Amino acid sequence: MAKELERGGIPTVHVTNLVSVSENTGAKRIMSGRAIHHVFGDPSLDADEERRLRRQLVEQALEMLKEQEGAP
Amino acid sequence: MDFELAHFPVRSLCWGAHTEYREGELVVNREALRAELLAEPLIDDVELSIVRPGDRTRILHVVDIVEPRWKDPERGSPFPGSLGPLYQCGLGRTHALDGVAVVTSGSLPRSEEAIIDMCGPGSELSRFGQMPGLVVLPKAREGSDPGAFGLALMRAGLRAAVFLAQTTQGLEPARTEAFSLDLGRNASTDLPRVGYLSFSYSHGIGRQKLFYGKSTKDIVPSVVHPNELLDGALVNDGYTKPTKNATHDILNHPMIRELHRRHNRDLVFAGMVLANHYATYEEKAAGAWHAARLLRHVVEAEAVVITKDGGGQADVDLMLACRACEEAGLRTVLVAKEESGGDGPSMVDVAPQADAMVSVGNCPEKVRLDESMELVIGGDGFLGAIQGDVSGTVEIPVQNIIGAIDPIGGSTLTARPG
Repeated sequence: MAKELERGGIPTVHVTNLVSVSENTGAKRIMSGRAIHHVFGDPSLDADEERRLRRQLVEQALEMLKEQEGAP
Repeated sequence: MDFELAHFPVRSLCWGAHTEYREGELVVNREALRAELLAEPLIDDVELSIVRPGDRTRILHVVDIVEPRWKDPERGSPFPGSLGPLYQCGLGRTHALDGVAVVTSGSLPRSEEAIIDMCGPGSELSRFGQMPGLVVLPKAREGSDPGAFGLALMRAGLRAAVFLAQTTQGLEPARTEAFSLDLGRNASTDLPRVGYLSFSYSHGIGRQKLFYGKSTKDIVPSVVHPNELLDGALVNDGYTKPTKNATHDILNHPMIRELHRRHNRDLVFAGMVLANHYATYEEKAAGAWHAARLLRHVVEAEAVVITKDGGGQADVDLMLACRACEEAGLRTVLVAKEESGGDGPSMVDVAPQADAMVSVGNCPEKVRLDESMELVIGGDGFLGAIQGDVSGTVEIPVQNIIGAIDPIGGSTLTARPG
């Protein structure tokens, strides 16, 4: 899905914990999420810490959208 | 390590005044068994049924299937840690009631449908449709935590299994089977040393196995003796059922049995590593390297067979372990179920080193169950996306027939290049 969206001209970040699967599929922008059951969170943290983590992960993903294809 | 299974074949199963085993006939006192199972505080009531091959009966929402086992209580419980006191597994003699199943059923959070049909095409696809079964359907005490009730349901299956097999105490078995395996180097043979790497489902309550009662979530890849798995060290606590192994499968572990059978014939069964399916990629990668090191340097294997317990994320473990083992110089064979919807890939992950794989079947392959049932046990509708007549004709993915696809090799399905 990430590949097709990207092909259609929509920059797409695939957030996943299973990075190798995404790489094999050929996704362009891959971000490693926290764990396979909760890519955007961590239930072992307290609520405030988890909120900060979530925000940081979302911002990181948004930053990746700005990257040009093929750029490091 | 010498382990002996004393086999007591069951030809018929029925209710009666006294619970006893006599020459292949297993009689169960329903009230006594009920009282035994109500010892679980979170179980308010329990419905018990007997099913037989050929019955027009369908069992829904299957949670686990257990083979009845008994051993001298001085040597712990047949399922140590998971039910009753701890003792080392895989030593001495354990009694087994052959050809009979204790089936637990229940609807728990995020359960997936698992069906046993006692007649028709569904029964032909699974050994559990071809043996008499005692179905345990507990009702949760109001207000109980679903996870805690799930554990009580799991223990109820084990309790019923011990209750049935206790009938063989003091009796002479029909036959005994010895599993003798001394691990370690034997200089007198040139046969190839084959190790086994067994991944185990391990994502928390209801999505895990228990190893001596401890969640597989909390273990690291470890060298264990194969006899331990044949003797109740590992039990299932999972209600996301299809394509994960039931306790009955592990107790009769087809892969371990086959490696035992061929030991000192055309290979040396060098030993095994029990590993878990970690929840993060980093842990998966570290676990794969760790397992490969144990197989290479502790088990001293030259070749490895790897099986998994689940799908999707489990493919990543399989491939990481394949790569780690091959890079450690071990020839590696993978055993895997497939998830091919048609023209798509059948695994979510593939490593370049994966050049020897055995398929145990394609999960989404549709089968049509067209037998009309007189009795449906466990629920009045299918779980998940399955649409159809609960007591009549329905088309379902073959994976939802429990036992049709056995990740450790006990099923008869496979897939070949077309």
